[in-house]
Amino acid sequence: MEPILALRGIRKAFSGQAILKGIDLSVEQGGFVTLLGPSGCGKTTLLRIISGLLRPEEGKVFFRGEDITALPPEKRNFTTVFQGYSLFPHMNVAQNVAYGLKLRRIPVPERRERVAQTLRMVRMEGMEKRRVTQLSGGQQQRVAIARAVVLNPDVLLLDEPLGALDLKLRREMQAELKELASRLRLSCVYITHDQEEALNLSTKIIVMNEGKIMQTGTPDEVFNHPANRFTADFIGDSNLYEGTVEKTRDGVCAVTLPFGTVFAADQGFAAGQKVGVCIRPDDVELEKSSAAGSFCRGVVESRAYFGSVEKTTVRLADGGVIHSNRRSAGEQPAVGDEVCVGVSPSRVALFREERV
Amino acid sequence: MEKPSVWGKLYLALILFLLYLPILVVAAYSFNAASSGAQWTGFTLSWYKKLLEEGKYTQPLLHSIELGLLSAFLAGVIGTAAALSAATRAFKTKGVFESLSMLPIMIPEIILGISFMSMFALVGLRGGMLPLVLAHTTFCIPYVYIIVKGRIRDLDPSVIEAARTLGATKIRAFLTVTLPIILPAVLSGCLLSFAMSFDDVIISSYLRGPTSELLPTKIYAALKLGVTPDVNALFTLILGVMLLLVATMAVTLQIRKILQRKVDAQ
Repeated sequence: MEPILALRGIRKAFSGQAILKGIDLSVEQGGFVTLLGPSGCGKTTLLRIISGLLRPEEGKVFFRGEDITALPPEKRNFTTVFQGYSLFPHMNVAQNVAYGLKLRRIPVPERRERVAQTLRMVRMEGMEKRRVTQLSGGQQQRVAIARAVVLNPDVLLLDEPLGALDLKLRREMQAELKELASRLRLSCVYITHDQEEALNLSTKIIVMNEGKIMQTGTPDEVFNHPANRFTADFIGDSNLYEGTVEKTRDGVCAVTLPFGTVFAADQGFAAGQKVGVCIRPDDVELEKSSAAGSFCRGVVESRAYFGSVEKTTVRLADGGVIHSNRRSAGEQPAVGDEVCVGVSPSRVALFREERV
Repeated sequence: MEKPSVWGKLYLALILFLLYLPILVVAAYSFNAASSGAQWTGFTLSWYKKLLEEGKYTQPLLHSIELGLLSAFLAGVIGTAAALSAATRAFKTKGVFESLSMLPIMIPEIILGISFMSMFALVGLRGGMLPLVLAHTTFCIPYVYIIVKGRIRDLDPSVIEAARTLGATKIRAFLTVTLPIILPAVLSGCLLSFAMSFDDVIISSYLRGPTSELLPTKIYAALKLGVTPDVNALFTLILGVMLLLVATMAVTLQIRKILQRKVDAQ
């Protein structure tokens, strides 16, 4: 099926400094695409180009196959939920939500009906006459979402909409947003630097860094099969090493690391190739005695308690460290104990190590 | 809140006394039967009657109002446009632009007056309403500029972008979002401009010409012959209208506030 939105070779610079260095991406109908990256990676600039508030220097924006690069924002039916909500301070809740409908000359009875219905959807019914400046952050956020959603946008753009909320409220709004997007079958482009948010909400994640796309994939793909060091490092906690593929046999690939040999599922790398190795702390097992799957030994250096998990740092023979979030089967190893470190081959991700 | 001390109250009373006593005196003497001097000889309304019947201040008053409204409107438009571009656009000569916009406030009025007169004479413009409006607009622009610019600083540019993404053209976004948000500042700039224009004597006396007598210049001329009680009556009338306007505005705002608070409390 043709994607609803597609970007081809987008480039943008501000006063000579390249912000976007050739971006290609597509959004499927009903898809929830997240642009994930550290601040300054160009994701907001990209969103502004999609919304039409900015023109790219090079490249094209397509909507259902039609070139809309030169179309001003008011002629695209893409609405945006801004980071700071950007509600109209001189209007009340209902007037804010009705703004776009009024511009589209929707007759008053229908307008009123749609505003009421949308406010019900974001659980803001009965607040129509309130001044938006008197609302809490969570309520303002709901109004901002209602204002954008009431127009049945072809694409809903969200620029870190939950960034200003506290953790608990953010989790709640995340769940509501996910439910709303799937109920209305909205096609969304979502910006965040919060990987947990991205993993939870998205059908597709686009990992960005320094104006380039590092990896595109489903949440499972980018988390479990990072394509490069940046993605492996940025998404989730990780133990990252450099190694050399020794041999591959029966779908299992042996990789030599400075402190031992780890086995991974065959991911198409040839013997002798340099690879990056990513092992999530959640998958690292520590045992007192050597068990199946252990590949090296080390000494417990520190333990840190975080409630639901306990993070153990183990110093390895070559001087490096490995982190583990797992609880051992028997007695927990104490600081100073020697332990065997193990990991299941299916949980070891390999990626091509780009050499500078 | 801490209660003001006796000294604080006394200080406040003194200031209010010094500020408003002269005004009260003028208002009181407009009802004085004596035709001159400080002697109180009885209550009368005859000065008001004389003022209205003679009507020698009517034409100048109308001229002054016309001039004030025109200058305030033009200064409002130009000052707002200048403040908007200074606040939202980046250009190389911005510093120069901002200083130049404020300069008319710093130049002594007498110099402004003479400069305007010579320049208008140079282009063949005789004294009258047109040069008056041009000059008054010029010296009123900085007041609008400074007030509106202060307000724009609180205007989040992404609010305007939000309007654009919701379907508003640039003009529509300006009319429905930018303007309503900065309107209070624009109006107070205009109000101040009107007041500045309405009581200007110095610049106006260079430019008014024979046909456009203004209230301040007329009164100034009349004062050479001593204050007559009908001028007191005129002052009192103007003062009364001003008070009425201000009071109406304050009451309206207060009522609106109370109504909105009721809604918020629901």
